[in-house]
Amino acid sequence: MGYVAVKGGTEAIRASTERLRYERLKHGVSLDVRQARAGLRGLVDQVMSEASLYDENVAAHAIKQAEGSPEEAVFLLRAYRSTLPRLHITVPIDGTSARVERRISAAFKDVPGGQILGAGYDYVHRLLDDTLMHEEETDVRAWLERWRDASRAQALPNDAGRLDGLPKVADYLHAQGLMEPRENDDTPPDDVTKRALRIPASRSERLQVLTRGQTGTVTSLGYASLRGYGPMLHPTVGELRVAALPLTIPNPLASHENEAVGGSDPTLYADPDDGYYLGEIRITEVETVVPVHEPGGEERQALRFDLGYGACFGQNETKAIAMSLLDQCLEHPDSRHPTHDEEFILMHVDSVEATGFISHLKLPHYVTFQSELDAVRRTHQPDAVSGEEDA
Amino acid sequence: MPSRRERTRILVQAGPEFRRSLADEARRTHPIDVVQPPTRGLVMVQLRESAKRTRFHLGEVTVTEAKVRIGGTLGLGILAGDDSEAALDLAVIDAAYNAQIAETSGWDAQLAAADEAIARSQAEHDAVLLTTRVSFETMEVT
Repeated sequence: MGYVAVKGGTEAIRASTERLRYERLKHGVSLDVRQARAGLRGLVDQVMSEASLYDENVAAHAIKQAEGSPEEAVFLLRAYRSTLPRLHITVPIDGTSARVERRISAAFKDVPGGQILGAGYDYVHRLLDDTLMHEEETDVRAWLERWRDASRAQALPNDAGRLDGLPKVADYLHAQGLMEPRENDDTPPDDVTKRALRIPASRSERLQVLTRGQTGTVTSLGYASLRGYGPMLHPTVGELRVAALPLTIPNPLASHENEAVGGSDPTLYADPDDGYYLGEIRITEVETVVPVHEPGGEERQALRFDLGYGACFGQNETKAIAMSLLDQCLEHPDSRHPTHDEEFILMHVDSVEATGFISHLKLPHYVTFQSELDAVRRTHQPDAVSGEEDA
Repeated sequence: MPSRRERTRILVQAGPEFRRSLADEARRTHPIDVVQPPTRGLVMVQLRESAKRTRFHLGEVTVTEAKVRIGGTLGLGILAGDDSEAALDLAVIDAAYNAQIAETSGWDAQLAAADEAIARSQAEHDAVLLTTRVSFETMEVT
């Protein structure tokens, strides 16, 4: 049965919309967008990642309007994004070009360049800090001054180490011959925002869908893969980095004299040194190391490592780790396990699609339901049923 | 002379006063024809992942873009975020370099000095961040 439209209710809907604004403002306080951006970093990062749109100010604006609801804020950002033209595509950016703000490894305690804890929640007590209830701007300024003084006093010499161009832990495994070496694969990436996802998906589509997936869903499905809904052995985070990724676009004003080198893709054939630098964005990038058994004869099995890859906008560490687990799962399709079922994973992780479809269930379905009601009533009226049958 | 990428990196990172001082130098001696006023748009980020070394689309970043002409020569200004003045200043500087106006001969030294200041600031930032570099030790199993 198809959908049947309803009409009416204009005044009530208008009043309801005003009521929504009242709920946001009823305490007589307006949340400053700058405060939302500064103080709700985790939520801003989550919303940008799920919306697939990087703009901290616009994300904070959406969070204010959505009263902190991530699904509404993501919806607003996706709608905003649809009003803007896409002007360019960056050159392919390698994560090693990023400037590290945090870099940890669960696999190797001594990684070249060192493990940088940066800012992370891993080792903090999960106890409410009572002082935050009455934190004033003067307190903030005083703390910042003390922190800056202490940091300067403790700072290492300026030549103590560089935080850009750090090698990946995976490079070490490659060098040791414990992982298959990989050459760059320049298959043009697909774009699920230009062409709807089709199953089977390409690798680029899989990664794009996962990186814009709803944080909770991606995390839950990654967790399920570890709990036995998949044959994966215990994975290890080879490297997790939070880093500032520099963005460069190819020169759109350049002639196409190098076109023959890279076919029709200017992000490949253009000289990156002739490109335009746009700025940096913060991303989280994860490589998960998974042992893989290979047939190596009747007596023994050779062992090597595979990598699962996860990356997303902002500092969203759990999501990026879970994405790397699902990447590894989907590289080994297996219809017996839901976490290895591409259609099951990719068709259910998008925030707007999932929340939109679930939410639509509360909207008027009067005609649809009335027909169901009639059918159920008929089953409760034996005489009528027999009468119908007689008729 | 720094490459365009290096030049635009320094100009974006150096801040508004530096950009404005170079752009105003060009404005004083050359009429600027604004071809495209600052416009908001999107740039898709293309990332090379490290597991299979393939490329994929990470998501889009908002940008501001402007185009100007000096004489018949086009210049492009673009940067992440919402900053019309910066986009226009960047476009003027780009057009100035593309048209090779005389003023640009003195700019390379200023760019080099600005880059040194950026590097110093970055090194100080890194030196503080490196205090969180951790050295874990494994304990013996008894």
